[in-house]
Amino acid sequence: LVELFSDNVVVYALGIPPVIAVLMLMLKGYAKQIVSMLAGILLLGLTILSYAQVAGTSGTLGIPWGNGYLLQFAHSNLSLFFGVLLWAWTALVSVPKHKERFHWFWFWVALSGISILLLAKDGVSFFMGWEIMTWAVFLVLMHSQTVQAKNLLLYFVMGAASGFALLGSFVLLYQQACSFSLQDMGSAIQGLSLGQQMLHFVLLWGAFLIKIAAMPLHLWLEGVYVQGPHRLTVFLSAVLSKIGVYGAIVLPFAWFYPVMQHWAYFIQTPVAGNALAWLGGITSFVATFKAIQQKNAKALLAWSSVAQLGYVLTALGLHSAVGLAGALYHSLNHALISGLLFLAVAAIVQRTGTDRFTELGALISKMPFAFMAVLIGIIGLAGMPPLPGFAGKWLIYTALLQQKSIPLLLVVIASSTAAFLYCYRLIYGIFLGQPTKVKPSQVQEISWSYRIPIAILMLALMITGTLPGLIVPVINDVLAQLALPTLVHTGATVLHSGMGQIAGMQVMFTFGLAFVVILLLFSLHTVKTRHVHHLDIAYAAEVPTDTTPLHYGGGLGAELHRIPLIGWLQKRSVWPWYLWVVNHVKALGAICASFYQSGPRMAFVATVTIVVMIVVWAGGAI
Amino acid sequence: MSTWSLPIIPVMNVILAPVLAYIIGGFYYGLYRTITARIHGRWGPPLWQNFVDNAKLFAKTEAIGHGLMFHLGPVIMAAGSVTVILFLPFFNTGSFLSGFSNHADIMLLTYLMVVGPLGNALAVGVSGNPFGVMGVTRGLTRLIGLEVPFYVSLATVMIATNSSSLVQVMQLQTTPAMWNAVQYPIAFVASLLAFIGFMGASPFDVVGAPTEVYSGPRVEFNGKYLGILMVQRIIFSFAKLLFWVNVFLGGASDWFALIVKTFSLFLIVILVGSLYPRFKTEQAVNALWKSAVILSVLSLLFYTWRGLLW
Repeated sequence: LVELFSDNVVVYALGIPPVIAVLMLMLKGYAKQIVSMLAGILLLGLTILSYAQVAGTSGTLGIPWGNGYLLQFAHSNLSLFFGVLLWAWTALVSVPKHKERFHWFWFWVALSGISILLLAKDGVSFFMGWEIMTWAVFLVLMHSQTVQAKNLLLYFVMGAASGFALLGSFVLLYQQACSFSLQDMGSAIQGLSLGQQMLHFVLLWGAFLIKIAAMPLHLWLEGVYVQGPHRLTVFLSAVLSKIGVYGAIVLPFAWFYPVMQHWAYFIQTPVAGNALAWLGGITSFVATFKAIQQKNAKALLAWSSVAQLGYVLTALGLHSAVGLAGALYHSLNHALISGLLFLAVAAIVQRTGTDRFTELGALISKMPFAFMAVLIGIIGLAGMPPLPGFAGKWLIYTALLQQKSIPLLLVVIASSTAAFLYCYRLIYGIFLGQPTKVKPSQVQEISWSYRIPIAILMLALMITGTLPGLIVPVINDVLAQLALPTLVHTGATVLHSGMGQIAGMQVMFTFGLAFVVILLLFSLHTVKTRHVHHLDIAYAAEVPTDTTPLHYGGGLGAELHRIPLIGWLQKRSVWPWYLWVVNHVKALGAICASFYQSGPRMAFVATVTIVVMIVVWAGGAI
Repeated sequence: MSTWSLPIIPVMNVILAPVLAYIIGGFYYGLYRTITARIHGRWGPPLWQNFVDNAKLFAKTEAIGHGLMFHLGPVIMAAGSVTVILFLPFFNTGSFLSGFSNHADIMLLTYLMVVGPLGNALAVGVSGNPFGVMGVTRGLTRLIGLEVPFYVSLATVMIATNSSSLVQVMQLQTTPAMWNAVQYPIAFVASLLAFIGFMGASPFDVVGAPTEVYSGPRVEFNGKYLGILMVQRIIFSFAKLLFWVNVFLGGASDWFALIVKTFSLFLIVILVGSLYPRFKTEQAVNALWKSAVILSVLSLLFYTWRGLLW
């Protein structure tokens, strides 16, 4: 029975999501969520089962698409890795009961698109999956009625740009390869001239950098993450941004990896790869300081997502084995961590009606579970041991050291240290400090339907932190597919990078044991602790009252702008640059329009000029 | 007997390491107070004054608390410091007091060093005291500055030895000429800049400035809470000294070398700390970044010329 299911996982993964989508149109109320959750679990199970079966051509599928064209589908280690993420998250986001406008039909259409994308083995089906995913998500956003038209339009335009870049590259490559098979198109790149290779490099990376939201292509992200329905925000941050990473690994990374060895190198990294890595480094640096500036939790997390994917881009850009491993590891971590934090924030918004740091505060007494969730989340986000956030960052740092890229390492270190500030701001602004507008006495712990997925994620983070080698076999399979050297791991507990090793369980137990022993000794101490009123604090010999502004949530980190470089960066935006482009395109349009709008004489002059130029050019060619 | 003696030695090592670190560090801080006093032209307290102060804090009849997290914060902080000291070997040979250093990774240690302060930040946050949070914010901002010169030096060492394992880095420094401080002097200078900051000495001491932010992260702690934080600070300071000695000065082969090397480093902190006025937070970050950039450019040119890195 196992073999029957796993052999046909491609059929199921392509067939089940559209069926569920149609079901969503017929069902009502909470039934939709239950069906969605069960389908997610079913598909997750099938994806995990088929891990054992991945080998050669097993599990391929061809669907005739007119004129004898065959859409080809098959699974690979990489697609299964992201498939597990996708279906696990589908199940998780279906659990919370949260009253908001959420179009389940279009959500499942988007899932069908992602499934097509993950299994596609030819350009046409890949592009179809990409477009279905982009537009279905757009429709979910539109139906929510919470996203401003401007932000929707931005998502629309940038999604279209990404699609066109992808399509343009595919069509040009078809002329060379005479096939839409991803493998043939990939090998066709090697026969192109350097200029053409660079064009494809820019088009393909550009398409995926928009989804990853690397600067300056990140503009669509903030509005959608902040204003989109909570359930979708969780999904976008945890899964959709990772689909961008998947696309970038399958197409430009894998295709250009053999070609790059003939390109110019700087020290140990190809120059083009270095450019990508620096783009990632700058993205994470700038986005981190933007995140510190934000006044509400969702915006903070949105910018932190940009920053975290900046690290992934840095790691990918290095084009090394450890770099790719770090990128995959960090993608998985971020899928768990950012999803956990967005879920926790959504649950808090459900209870309090706001996610502004100036209106929250001191909720720890009423929401200890949510506090623990956010605490685990920020420890992961900051990359602190013993949670897995550290292992991912450690692999990325090691990759940078191996490429001897000290300046970029410093940028990444500076931004991941600055990340502590926004992490602290997130937990302080909501749970610590003094009560503000939302009184702790009037709220209660987050709802059970949120606590279940959050607890699962916390557990997953604890396990992967203790056992950092647990997912290494999966990463190694991906590395082996690209003929890269694999990572070494001693069982699940010790992870090696080629330069050093980390023992997750040892760190976890040493810290845990030290904590327990010290807590016991400290609690044995007979001195009584007297718990006092929250206004009874050491306040420079003055007595604060309820009206004294004591909560530091809005101001925490605001003074960073006094550091000259940070102040300069925080005032900058890429909008003026985009407007400059828009204005110049308009001016060019006006010049072109003047040729046919200012009477027949100008049109005549233009026509004659063009004809003469063509004749001269053709003559030169002959 | 032999079957029992095997686990006893490691267990003893584990228990001894933080205790010894506390005793040595306590006397170092006593010397800190004495030497600073002599620079000021005062007599200063006796060498064991810190132990007396610490005992007094634990003997207070009452402590003011702000809930469970306030109680756990200092414990997390102390556990973080003990974890760091357990991952650092005291000596470069043998297993005596080597803790869990067989798996010590340099980058792991730099991150373990911030786990403890998270506990302090949470506890002072839950107390609701804005001065404490201001201090935490300043501490985190200063950290952004400190990590950059710190990693200029660590990256140089790790790239040159092609290893991020602390034990391996120590083993390669067999003679004083092979010490990383001698081999990579510019990197060592960069690391000292960060070191003074990590030790919380002037000019990078605005985080806990008593007059400006009313003692910063420690403002709300009293009695036994301040006591455990004092223990923690002494252990943590010794751990940092040990880290620098192990990475840059080849580690120590015996007690004499350990004391000489750690105290020489500590003396730098004392002397610089008593000579310089303090920077504002943003000035500190700016100064650290600028000097780190200049030093890293210099060191890259120097090491490229000597062919050490590539």
